[in-house]
Amino acid sequence: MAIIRRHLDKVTQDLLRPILTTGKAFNFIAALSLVMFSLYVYAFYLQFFHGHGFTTRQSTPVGAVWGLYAAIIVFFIGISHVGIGVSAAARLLNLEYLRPLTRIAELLTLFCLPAAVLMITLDIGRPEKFVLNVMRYGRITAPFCWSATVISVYLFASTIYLYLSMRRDFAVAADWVPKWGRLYRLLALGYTDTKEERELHERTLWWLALVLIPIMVSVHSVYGFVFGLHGGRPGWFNPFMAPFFVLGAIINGFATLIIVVAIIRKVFQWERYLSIQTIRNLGRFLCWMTLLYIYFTIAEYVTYSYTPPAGEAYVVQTVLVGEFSPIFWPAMAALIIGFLMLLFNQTVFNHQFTLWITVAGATLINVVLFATRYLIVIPSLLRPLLPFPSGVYTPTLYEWGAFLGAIGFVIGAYLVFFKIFPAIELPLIGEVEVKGS
Amino acid sequence: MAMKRIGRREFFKYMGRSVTLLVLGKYTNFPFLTPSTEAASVAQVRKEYVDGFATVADSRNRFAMVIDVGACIGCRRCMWACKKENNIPDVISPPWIEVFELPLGESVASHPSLRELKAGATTSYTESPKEGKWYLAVQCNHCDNPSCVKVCPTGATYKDKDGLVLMDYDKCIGCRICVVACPYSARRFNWLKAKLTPEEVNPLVPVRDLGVVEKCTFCVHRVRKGKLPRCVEVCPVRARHFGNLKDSKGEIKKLLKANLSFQLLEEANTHPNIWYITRGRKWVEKWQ
Repeated sequence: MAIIRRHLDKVTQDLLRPILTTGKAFNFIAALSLVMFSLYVYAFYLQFFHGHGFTTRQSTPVGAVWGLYAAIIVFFIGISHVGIGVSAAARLLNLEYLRPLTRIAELLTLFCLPAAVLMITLDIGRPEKFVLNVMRYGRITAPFCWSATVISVYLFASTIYLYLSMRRDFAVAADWVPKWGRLYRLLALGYTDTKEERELHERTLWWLALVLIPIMVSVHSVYGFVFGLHGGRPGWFNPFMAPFFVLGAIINGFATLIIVVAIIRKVFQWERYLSIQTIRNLGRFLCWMTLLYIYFTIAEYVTYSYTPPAGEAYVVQTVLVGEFSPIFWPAMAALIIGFLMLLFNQTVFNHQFTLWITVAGATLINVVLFATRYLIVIPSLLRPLLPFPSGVYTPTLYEWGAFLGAIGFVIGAYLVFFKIFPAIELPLIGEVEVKGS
Repeated sequence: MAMKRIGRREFFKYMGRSVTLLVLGKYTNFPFLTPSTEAASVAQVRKEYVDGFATVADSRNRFAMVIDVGACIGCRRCMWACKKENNIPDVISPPWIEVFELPLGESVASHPSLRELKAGATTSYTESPKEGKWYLAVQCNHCDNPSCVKVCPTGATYKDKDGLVLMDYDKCIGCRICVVACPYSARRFNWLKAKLTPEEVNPLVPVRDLGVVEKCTFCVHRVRKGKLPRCVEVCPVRARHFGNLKDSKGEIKKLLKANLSFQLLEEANTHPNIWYITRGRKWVEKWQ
């Protein structure tokens, strides 16, 4: 191994700090995420042995056959959408300022996709046969087979992308972290950080980024298709569904990324590396995308409520004035408030940017996005086309618990990762001095 | 250990070869049928045949049903008989057949309004026939263009040669996308464990596991052996008729030629195989 043993510079030391030292907060959050995840395990246990019926969704023809779980799945897939996307875009468009947060973003993909798969496993009637049967008997006409394909391809490609972008860090950090030195050397696979190697990696990653972008769009389009292809479902059958889902995923992901970056920045005191300018740029993008989302939403509801066929009329009625209006109107109000918060903070009062306003706006938008997922999934399912009585659905505490469990999984995964691997790309020798904010 | 370095071209060559082999293996019925595997598959077929469910489809048949809504008195005997015949547990409610009680003058071709739902449309067991009501029995339509089959990720639900849309319960993973896709809401999901005593169970029909989807099979275990579906057999007013659509002199063809008929949700483009006629209007007129 011909790694030149450099002296441990200040920045590298700072970035490796979470690996080398463990605070009290770590234990607390780790315990919390474990407790949260155990809720998922409990819900899974109940369902596996007693059936999905305990979630009060027992009436098949009129109830919500896909309930809260489906909304959670779409939500997580949406978040996972952006991670690699940000990283790939940063590489393709040469956005250097995004460089420090690329890994945090990539991890969002890497952890939220499995979280979505966890929820799919929970939602499926026979989790023990789920993977095997889809692999053995999978049929090309089924949207779920498309989604299984794109999710696994996306997860696989993202893992490789993350690994390749981390290989240099393994080689560099191996000397400084005695605890994991052996693991790092194994993972570095003989990488020695020469100029040629670095260029080769950059080139490979560039091409991988180019491939990843269309995969990323396809993942969420397929989720749009899972809903949009059913001619027999009022409120779903809609060519608009795939682009709408992609846009929703972009917003969802960017909002989550802002929150995660702000938290990490605060917790690890990395204000120097995750500069405020970076978050500001993310926020600006989120702001205009939210405006687009508002426009899409208005377009959708104007179409649905002008001269709709009977089925659509019923669904839109339940959403706008019926049982779902207590969710819909506050959600729309919050979406507009979130947008305005971002707008004023990011663009109008440009000279006095406040971090917490952007983070609060992003949180608000994220909550709204979850509510709109819920409003896409549930109302259409409650209204069969034949004269069955209309169904009712209230998510049970078990279902919310499973959601918390999946969030706990993501938090725990982040914790474990940060404990073992460097969270931000270690600087090159030449660029040790990172510009402050 | 000194390993031979494999170049990129060589790597692709090997990859290509192995993929070709795999594909060939899949489509040439590999492994080839040896006497021992043949005996095993014969035993398997026999086992399934004794089960009664995997009866062999005959492509000379195309099963269809005609329901006379004018004659139907809403007694729900078909629901009950179906439940008993097909081992439908109590937790699946409504069972595979549902009989709607609708006010006269209301159509079912379109979506009922909120007002109609509040006024009419009950699915409960009530005393029938009632004045000013008519009855509409709904079940799986065994469509020729079934959306449930198209969306099934494992092929657990399939269109057989004789026109029946059936379920392979072993393949079903319980994703419920077929329930979502079916415009007739004909499919049921096993939310809870079935509680059936051994005496109740009809041995000709498999008892479904927790977490699978099920639906009307047109009593496949009966009709493929030349019997009528149970719901047709028990109907006291002969409102239900069952037969082979390919038989030009059969009962179904005759009924469809002699009567005006409609199908449910034709705009869904599923080409259902249940036709509704209003030949009778027997009891309805009596009360008017």
